[in-house]
Amino acid sequence: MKKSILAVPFLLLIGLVTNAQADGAKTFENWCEICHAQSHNMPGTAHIEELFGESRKDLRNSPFVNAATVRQIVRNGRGMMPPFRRTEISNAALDELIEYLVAENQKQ
Amino acid sequence: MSLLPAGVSKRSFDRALKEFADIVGSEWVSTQEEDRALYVDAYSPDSDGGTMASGFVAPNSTEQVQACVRVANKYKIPIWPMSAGRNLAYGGAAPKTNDTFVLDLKRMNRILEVNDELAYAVVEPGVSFLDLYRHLKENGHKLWMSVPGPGWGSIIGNALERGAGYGKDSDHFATSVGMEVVLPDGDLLRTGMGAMEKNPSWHISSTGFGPSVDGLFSQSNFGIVTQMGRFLTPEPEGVLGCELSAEDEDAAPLLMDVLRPFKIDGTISTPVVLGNQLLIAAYTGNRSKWYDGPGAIPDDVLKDMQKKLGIGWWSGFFGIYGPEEEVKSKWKRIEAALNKVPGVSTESRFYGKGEEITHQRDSSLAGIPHLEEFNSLNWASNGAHIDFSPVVPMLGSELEKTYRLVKDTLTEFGVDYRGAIYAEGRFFRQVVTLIFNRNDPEDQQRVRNAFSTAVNRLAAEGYGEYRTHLAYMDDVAKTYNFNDNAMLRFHERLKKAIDPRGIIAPGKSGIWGSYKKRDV
Repeated sequence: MKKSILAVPFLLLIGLVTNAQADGAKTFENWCEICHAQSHNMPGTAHIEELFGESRKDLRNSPFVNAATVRQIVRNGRGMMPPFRRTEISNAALDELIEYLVAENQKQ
Repeated sequence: MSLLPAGVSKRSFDRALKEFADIVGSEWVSTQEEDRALYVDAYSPDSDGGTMASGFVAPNSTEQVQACVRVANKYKIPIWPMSAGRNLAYGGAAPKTNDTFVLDLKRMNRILEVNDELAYAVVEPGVSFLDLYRHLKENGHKLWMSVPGPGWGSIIGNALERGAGYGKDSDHFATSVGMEVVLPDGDLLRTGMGAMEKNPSWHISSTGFGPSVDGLFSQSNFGIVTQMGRFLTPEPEGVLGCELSAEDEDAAPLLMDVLRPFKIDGTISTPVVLGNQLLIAAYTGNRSKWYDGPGAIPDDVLKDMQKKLGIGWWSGFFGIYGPEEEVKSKWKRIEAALNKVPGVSTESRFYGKGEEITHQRDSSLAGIPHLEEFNSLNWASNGAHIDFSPVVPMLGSELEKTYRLVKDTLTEFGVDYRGAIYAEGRFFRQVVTLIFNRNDPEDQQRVRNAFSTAVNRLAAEGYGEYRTHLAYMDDVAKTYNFNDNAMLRFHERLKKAIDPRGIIAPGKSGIWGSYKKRDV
């Protein structure tokens, strides 16, 4: 099921997410969801599912997500995914995105 | 590898870097390889990955663009403007030559105006279709955009490359009005009515006075567009998503002739899109699941694929905008005409104003950007693609001729025909997508050979490409050969006159001007 980004401000309020994670969630929503959301027919989601199986297709609940891998793939691309530039996802925004994804995975 | 352009000393280059940094901030200029690598063509058909820029500089305002252009002129550093750099299949953000700096405009991402009454928006180059869609939704504007396949692309970049979309204003360049342009010497121009101070019609009428120059900045290297108006469509009372399926390969010409009058007289609101079965099959995962033999997929395997997927040889779709009763009445007339084509079945879905669009194809008709077309690249491992797209009269006989020419040529090279006919009424673009493994040099070579041969054979019959990949710009420019390439000769004369140092995008669209290649 798709996780709601709307939940982030509430969790921020009660101290369960950091500001960086909240900003990382926004970066995920702005840049990643168009290809990696869990709705039907998303190219990134479908590609990961084909490579690693159904249980790993959500980047927020995936055993292969770690800081180094996310950084490497965002800046170098993989398969059909092109690299993302600093003018799109800045180094600071990438750090926040990583913090968000790692925290989400640790919750699982 | 030297980053220095011909005739430019290391000292001058370093000075230019320093001056770029003074303009944009040191964070936004770099010649580091890890930064330059971000501007290579991610879908390059070249086994060496294509060209790599000598650096990047990313201004954040028109004034900064002007200042950067002046520095480039002073030190003779060629610069390659890119808006979002997502022109994948056509070269992405990569420049034509390795000694060129990328002028990355992505930071200029402001939506400057949305006009509800006159239905247009004014945007900067970094604004993507997705950005404008979100802005329209979040601010309650009842306006739709025409969107292309890749929703992350720049609205300005796509229009300047003469991209097409699925909405009513599908000819994105023709429905973009009023540009602000930084010229090669750093001067600033506003086109059309915008040439007059305070003119309120800048983004609604391209008339202006005297020669019209907007087209000079499309697919060109004559200036850098820093803002532009884009027509939007007032949200209609409803939209009918119309689909058709035709069993037989030879149905396509008949479909063109049946649908043409409805498109020309405006009964159909959007382009008519007609694709063969591989257009859909490529969304189902890797090609090897269907065929692992030599050469292109044989016709009998394609027929079998159709049966398994429950689709026709051809599938078509388009939209009709308006109140429910009206659009259904129009569809009834179209269906009656389509039913005369053997083996055709149809279906439709209506959405009233504000209703959620539930079908992916229909979301394109309603101006909702997405990236779902990229699913087709799972067809190959490490999938990438290049496209060629001849412009052809919307006549059945013309479709038959060009389809056979292209399919036979691709089959000769063992490449599958995966085509989409985007019909605008009087003409169609036959967009042929060649999907390849970007880590397989043999596959890349096969696709390149098929591409060149098909483009040249089409040109020999008088069919021209409306756009092409970086690697083919010189070749395609030469195919426009009336009167000893009078058009290219005119472009070259203009280029030398307005950009005497050959600063902006050398080699774009085959136009080189005074640029001199480095001796290496």
